[in-house]
Formats: sequence, structure tokens, C-alpha cells
Amino acid sequence: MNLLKRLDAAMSSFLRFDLSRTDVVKWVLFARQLLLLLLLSVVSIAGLSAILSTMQARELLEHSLDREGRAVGDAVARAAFVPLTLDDDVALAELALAYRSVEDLGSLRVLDEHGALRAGIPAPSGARLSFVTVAVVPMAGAHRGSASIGSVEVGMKRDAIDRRIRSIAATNVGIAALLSLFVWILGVMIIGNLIDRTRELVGEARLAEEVRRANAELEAFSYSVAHDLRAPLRAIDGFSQALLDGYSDKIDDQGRHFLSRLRENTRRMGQLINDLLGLSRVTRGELKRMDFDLAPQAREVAARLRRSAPERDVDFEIPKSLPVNGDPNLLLAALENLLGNAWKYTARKPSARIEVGRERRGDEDVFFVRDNGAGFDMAFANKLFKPFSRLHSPGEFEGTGIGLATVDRIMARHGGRVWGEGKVGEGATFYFTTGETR
Amino acid sequence: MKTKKRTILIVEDNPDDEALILLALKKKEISENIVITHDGQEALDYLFGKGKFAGRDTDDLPAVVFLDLQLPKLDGHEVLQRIRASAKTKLQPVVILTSSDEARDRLRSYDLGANSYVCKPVDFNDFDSAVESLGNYWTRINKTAKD
Repeated sequence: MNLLKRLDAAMSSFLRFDLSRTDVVKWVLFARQLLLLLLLSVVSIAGLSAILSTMQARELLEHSLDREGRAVGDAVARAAFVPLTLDDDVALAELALAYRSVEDLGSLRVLDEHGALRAGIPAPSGARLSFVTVAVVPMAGAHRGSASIGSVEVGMKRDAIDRRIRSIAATNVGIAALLSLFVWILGVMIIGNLIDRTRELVGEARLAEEVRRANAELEAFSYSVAHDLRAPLRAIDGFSQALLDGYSDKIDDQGRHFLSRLRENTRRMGQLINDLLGLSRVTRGELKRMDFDLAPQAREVAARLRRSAPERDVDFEIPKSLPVNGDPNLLLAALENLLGNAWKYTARKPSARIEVGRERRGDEDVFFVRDNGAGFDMAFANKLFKPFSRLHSPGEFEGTGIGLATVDRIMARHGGRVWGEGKVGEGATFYFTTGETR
Repeated sequence: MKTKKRTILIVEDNPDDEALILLALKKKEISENIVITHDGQEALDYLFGKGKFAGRDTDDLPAVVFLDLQLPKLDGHEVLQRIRASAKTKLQPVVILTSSDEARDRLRSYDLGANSYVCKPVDFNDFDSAVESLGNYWTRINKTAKD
């Protein structure tokens, strides 16, 4: 039943199979035709061989009948006790019974040298059966008592012969049919598998193609964001500045204030574009995993932050080494965001402290970036990683709300995760794992 | 040598960027001779003395070319490729000045032989100082192969 279902499924998948255009499909269709052709030829060869072997079987049968007939005839001729009288059919029949083919033995006739019937089993009375003489055993010179035997004729019932041929033919055809069926099922299963596999492959290829296209689209989009959105922004900023530079005597204080607000906003939008580009950049490209040390990267980012505001007093605590497995570029981007946040949110602390490290949490080793800055309310912890969602107003702390979304995406791409713990006014800790397989 | 004009060839299709570049360059009187072309073909015509620049003395090559990447007709990369392919201009200093900071664009530019790659800052003050230092460096400090 299972096989039938499978067969049916294979056959229907076979009929529905129409995946267009790609080369793979063309080749599979070709292979399918080829296999079908092969199946048909196997089936016809099996049929042909059944017919041929049946014909051969007939010959063999005749041969064996002839042999059997001769054996019977011989036995009859030589059986000393056979009373060769016309009446002793019973004795003949008894003799014939001793031989294998007796069941199908139709007639047994003993003729003298003149061809006259001397003894024999006649056809059963009333039966309109035809006989085929399968053997004539010449017995020239053989004498039994006064009688001299010319030959012994062994005949068989025609229908018995036909029956034998039929059974041989049936066996042959049966074997051929079974063989064909076996090959057919095998073939269909192979084709079915081939189609399933191809469909999978084509599906995968299609999916990969879709992903590739989506990526390409995203890339084109980021590219145009980068190029086409930045250019007008630069123009707005540039010409505002040109106004401030060249026409400040014609613009009053409020006008200058508006212009500076205009410039401030273009700057913010520029930052937004940069952050969005960063976010989109971490989602594309290949993830290049390797073992490396996160500590030098952290120190580098820290040094950069210090340079950006040398007047600030921030105590960075970074261990000598932090071995990690992941994509160095992406993890650097994540560190930049996490340390940048810590830097930003400790801005109002007189003695700011930022710590990077690794610790055991539950049954896994996690990295963390900890600060004693503004912290956050754990009630909103789930909003931290959503793009554009912020827990602080721009007046409080600047930001685009994209940084942690970027970190989240980076860790997700690694098969790891990031989460935050914090308390308002006391600081925040961001933990992350990089999906290391250890 | 002192009398020779140090030309900057600007290839920029965006009139706003063009105006901003000129603003930055002229403020500090960086260059006496600024040539502006608006697409890749025009830039090549200037360098090779063809089209509307037919008859120009092509031995007089600019001190530097500021080349945008996204340009009509021939894009920046193609222009750079042709500049490097010609014996006459293969040593021409070319600075890519573009909005794109895609790694792919940078890589391709350097691969094709760009002398420098500068991403146009959005902030005008940064832009101003970038263009100013570029102009200053390439026309006053740097020496080209033919100087």
C-alpha cells in the first residue's frame, strides 16, 4: 500500500513537474525522458524475451516429450512380460503408469513390422481429443514370442501439450512482467527521487536567488541612500553655512539661530543615514567566523572615544585578552555601538566607569559591556533593540535608536543574542553571546 | 614653473556639490584654474582634447582630477579606467570625491589606480576643510610625475 502511495505520489509529482526556465530543470526533464525511454525498452525487452523463451520452451518441451516417449516406447518394447495381444490394454496402461508422463499420455500403440496395430491404449471413450504423436520408436527385429514388433508410437493429448506450453509461457510472461514491474517501480522511484531532489535543489536555488536578489536590492537601496540622500543634505548644510558666512550682516539673530538649527538637523539626519547604512551593512555580506581577541578591538574603540572628548574622565576596564569566535568586522561594529552607548550615557557621571569582560552566566560564558551611567528602566528593556525606539529624548541623550538594533542583528547573525540589564541612575550592562560552538 | 597654472579638473554632475566645492576652493584661493566637467565623457574629452575641448593642449594636464563616482554616461570608475589605460594620462593624479563610503567602491577605485579616495562629508564644515586640504595638498604640496 505504501509502495503504491509512493508510486502514485511519484507519478503525480512527475506529471505536475513543471519548473520552468532554469538549466537544471531542462536537464532533469531530459533525464526523465531518458529514464522513461529506458523503462519502456526494459519492458519491451522483457516482453520479447518472454515470447522468445516461450518459443524455445516449446522446442524444449517437444524434445523432452520425444525423450519421454522414446523411454516409454523402449520400455514397452523391451518389457518381456508385455503380452502383445490386442486385448491387454490394461497391462500396457499399467506399464505406462510407471512413467512420469503417463498423466498426459494419450495413446500408446505397438505396431508390427507391417504397421498393423498389435496392442495399444486407445483414446478414452467419448473424448474428442486429438493426439500428437510425440515419439515413434522403431523396434526393427524385436520379437516377443511369436510377435515381431515394428515400432512403438507414443502419443500425447494435444490439450495436455498445450497446457504445458501455456504454463511455461505463463511462467515466462509472469517472470518478465514481474521483472518489468520491478524495474518500473525502481525507475519511477528513481525518477520520483530525482524530481524531489531537483525540486529541492531548484527550490533552494530559487530561495538563494531570492535572497541574493533581495540582498542586491538592499545594497542598491543603501547605495542610493548613501549617495542620493547625502548629496541634498550636504547642499542644505552647505548653503546654510554659506548664508551664515557671507550674509550674516543681512540676517538678524533669530535668522541666524534658525539657520544653525537647520544645520543641526541636517547633521542629525546625516547621522541617521550613517546609522541606517551601518544597520543594513551588518545584514549583508558573508559572516566570516574566526578565533580572535576582542580585547585589542575594545581598547582601540576606547582610545577613539577618549580622543573624541579628551576632557572627560572615564575609567575603562578591559582585560588583557578576550578570546572570541566570530566575525571581527561585525563584532567590532557591535563593540563600537555598545562602548559608544556606555560612553554616551556616562557623560553626566563625574567618575565614569566602563568595563568590558566575560563572565559565567548560568551555563554559558557571556561577554558584557558595563557602565555606571544613566541606566534604564527594565520595564522598557524589550524596546531597547527595536530600530528607532529610544528610552531617552534627544534633549537628554542624542541618538538615532539604531545602534542597539544593529548590535542585535549582529548577534543574531552569529546565532547568538544580546540583552541588557539596568537600573535608572545606576548604570547598564549589555550581555552578548556569539553563538560559539564549544 | 611658477607661472604655470595649476589646474584642478572637477568631474561632478551635481550642481549643488559643484557650487560647494567651488565655494570651498575659492574661499582659500586654492587654485587659479578650475575646470568643471559634468559627466565622464566630458572629463575624458578635456583630458584627451576631444569634443568641445578639441584643440586643447593635451600636454597641459591638471594637477589633480576630483572625480565623482556616480556620473551620467561614463561613471567614475570607467573614467578612471580610461585615464589609466592611456599612456599619456596613466600617471595623472586622480582623487575620488564621492558620497559613497561603500567598501566595494573604495576597493574598486584603488584597484583601478585611484591616488586617493575621499567620502564627501555631509557636514559642510567637514566638507569645506576636506576640499580645502585636498586642493592645497594636490596643487601645492604634491609633485606630479611631470612637474
